[in-house]
Amino acid sequence: MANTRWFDLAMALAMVVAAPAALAQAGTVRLGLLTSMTGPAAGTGLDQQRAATLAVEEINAAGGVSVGGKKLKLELVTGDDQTSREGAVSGVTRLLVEDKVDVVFGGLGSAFGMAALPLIRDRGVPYIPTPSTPLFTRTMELGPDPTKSMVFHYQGTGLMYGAATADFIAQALRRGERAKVVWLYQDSPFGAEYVRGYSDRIKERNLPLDTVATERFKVGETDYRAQLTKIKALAPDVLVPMGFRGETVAMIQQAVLDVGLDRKKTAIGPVCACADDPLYYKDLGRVGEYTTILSLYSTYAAPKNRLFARWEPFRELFVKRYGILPGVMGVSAYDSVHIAAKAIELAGSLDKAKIVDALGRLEMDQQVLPVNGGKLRFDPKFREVDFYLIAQQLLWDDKVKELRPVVVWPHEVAEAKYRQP
Amino acid sequence: MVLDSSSLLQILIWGLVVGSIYMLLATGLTLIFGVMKIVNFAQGELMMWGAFLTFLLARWLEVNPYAALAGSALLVGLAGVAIERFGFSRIRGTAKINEIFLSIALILVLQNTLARVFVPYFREYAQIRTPYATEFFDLGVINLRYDFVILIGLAWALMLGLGYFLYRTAVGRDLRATSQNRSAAMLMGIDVRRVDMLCFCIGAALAAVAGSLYGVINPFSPYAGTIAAIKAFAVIILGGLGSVTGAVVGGLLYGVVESVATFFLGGSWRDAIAFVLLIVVLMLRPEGIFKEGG
Repeated sequence: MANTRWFDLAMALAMVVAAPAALAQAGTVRLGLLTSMTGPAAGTGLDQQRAATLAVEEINAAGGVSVGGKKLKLELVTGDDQTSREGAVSGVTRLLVEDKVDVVFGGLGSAFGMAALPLIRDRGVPYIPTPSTPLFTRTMELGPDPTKSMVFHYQGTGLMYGAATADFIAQALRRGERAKVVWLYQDSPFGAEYVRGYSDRIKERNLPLDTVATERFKVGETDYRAQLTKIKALAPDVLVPMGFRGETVAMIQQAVLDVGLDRKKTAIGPVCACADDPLYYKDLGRVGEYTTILSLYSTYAAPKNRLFARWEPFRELFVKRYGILPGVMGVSAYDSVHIAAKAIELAGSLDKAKIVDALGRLEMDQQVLPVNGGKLRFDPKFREVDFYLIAQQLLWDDKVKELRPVVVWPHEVAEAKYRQP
Repeated sequence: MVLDSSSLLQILIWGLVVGSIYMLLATGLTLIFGVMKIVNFAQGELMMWGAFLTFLLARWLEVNPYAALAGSALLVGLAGVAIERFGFSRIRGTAKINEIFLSIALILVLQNTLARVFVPYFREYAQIRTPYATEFFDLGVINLRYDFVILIGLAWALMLGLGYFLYRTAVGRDLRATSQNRSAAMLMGIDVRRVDMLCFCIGAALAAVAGSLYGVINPFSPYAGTIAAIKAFAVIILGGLGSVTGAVVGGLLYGVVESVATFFLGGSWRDAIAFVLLIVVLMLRPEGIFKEGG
């Protein structure tokens, strides 16, 4: 008798403990944002969290997502990767085990996403990573058949940026003239893919670009003077500084102010699209005038083309809510929420395999980030998106006392031609 | 790669600039070690707090960052006294492992506190802007920013001032006496407790100055102090543990070698080559370039 009472009590307790989780499972769709909320990249992680929150609120305000005839609300849960591999493992474990998320998305550092990947894969949870390294979708060790992977990469990759860099230099910056190009790039898988994309494109299109030096630096390094002194001695036509925002600002400032690179002789850029952030314009200052930057999403430019139609409204929405402008990583998180919501509706179920299948056959209007042709789909081979990249030249704006971009490439959306100082 | 005269001059200047920062950081470290026989692994975090406080003071008080630097050094120096009083002095004489773990705890606490305060306002990096960022000395083959000259000048002025303090004042003599023989110093009536506090104060203040100067020429983050502290340790081992002269020579040598290696071998070798130098020196002279107490 006593045993039965204890059993009943234990059952009642178990129900009390389990009920909220069960209710959450039944009544909401849980989206897990795995990003850096602490550590060196916490600022950008916050940008992603804010943008994802906006997307979730938008979808919920419109009634939520339709799943099997019912409207379910979205719930955003954030897992902190602590800007480290170990942090990514604990952050994703929380998302998968404790929060039992239906989709994982976001992130800034490929190394952290890659550390979390085996755990996500083991549970078959759809994953929409947003770091730039194409390792997520192009590493054969991920499984016997990458096309059956549950990873759908939503970000411009190093390979794309590298190829666009070669095209931009050949077409707009040098306008077909032969050029001596020097790279100062981040010693990371992202940097290596970036340079590979550039070199492959030169071979593929037989572009008149001679890469006379490729100097590397460690991630997080901020003193590039010795490498830049060497680069200056080579008198190149183009210097491509490739790194994250802070690294790029330091490279350009040191090249111009400290080392004294001849700006009339050497063009600087295009820098990585991943640097396009309000702080980039603020931190770089006048020193960055005439430099160029690739962009997947521009902080300030708004080219008059349907592909960029959502940039301005998104900026206004973000500024109204948070008082600051979003960066490209935030935008990719915002879009990822919409992609996940659409795929869940298409799947008509929260069954993970069905969501993966739906992501594979998804075709929807592009979101904020521009896509070639305006239709967003993941290519069947690498599960990447064919983004539309632009290049901007930064010019000093006396009214705001900051640099502002002018789109200079590709020619169909260019607002002006590239100008050498 | 042909090294022309302007490149050579620039490389040496970059080496001296970064070497001066190592010199300040390592001197603080060696002073603490020399007197208290404590290895303060959190010296790099004090450095970054110094940079951050200079950044904030210059902005809030709207003063020249070089003036704000004095306030920052004072605040971090006082924090050093608190760390010594409430931390290291309490575990003095216990197992060495306690000091190591206290240092590691300090790294985590100082770094994470700074990150909490820092990141929401400045994202990943900040840089201290001086009014001289675009002012140059014309050296003929190259132009040299005022900031670099101020940095080297300030670092050397502090070293000379420290030298004067250590060798020409009564308190400095107490400090050297404690470093050479703590028990004898106590028997001679020197208040070694006060010496310990002063020593930690100077060491922390030097770290703050090093951090502030680093922040003037490079963007910095709350995490940038860790690798700088590791290099400072290498410098004091290279120069000779506890030797201020060794920290000065080691710091400058380390900076120049790092700069030259990066120029010829590339950025991937920046950190490694200096440690190769350290191994070579230790093989030839295990006690470092200068002996302890030099």
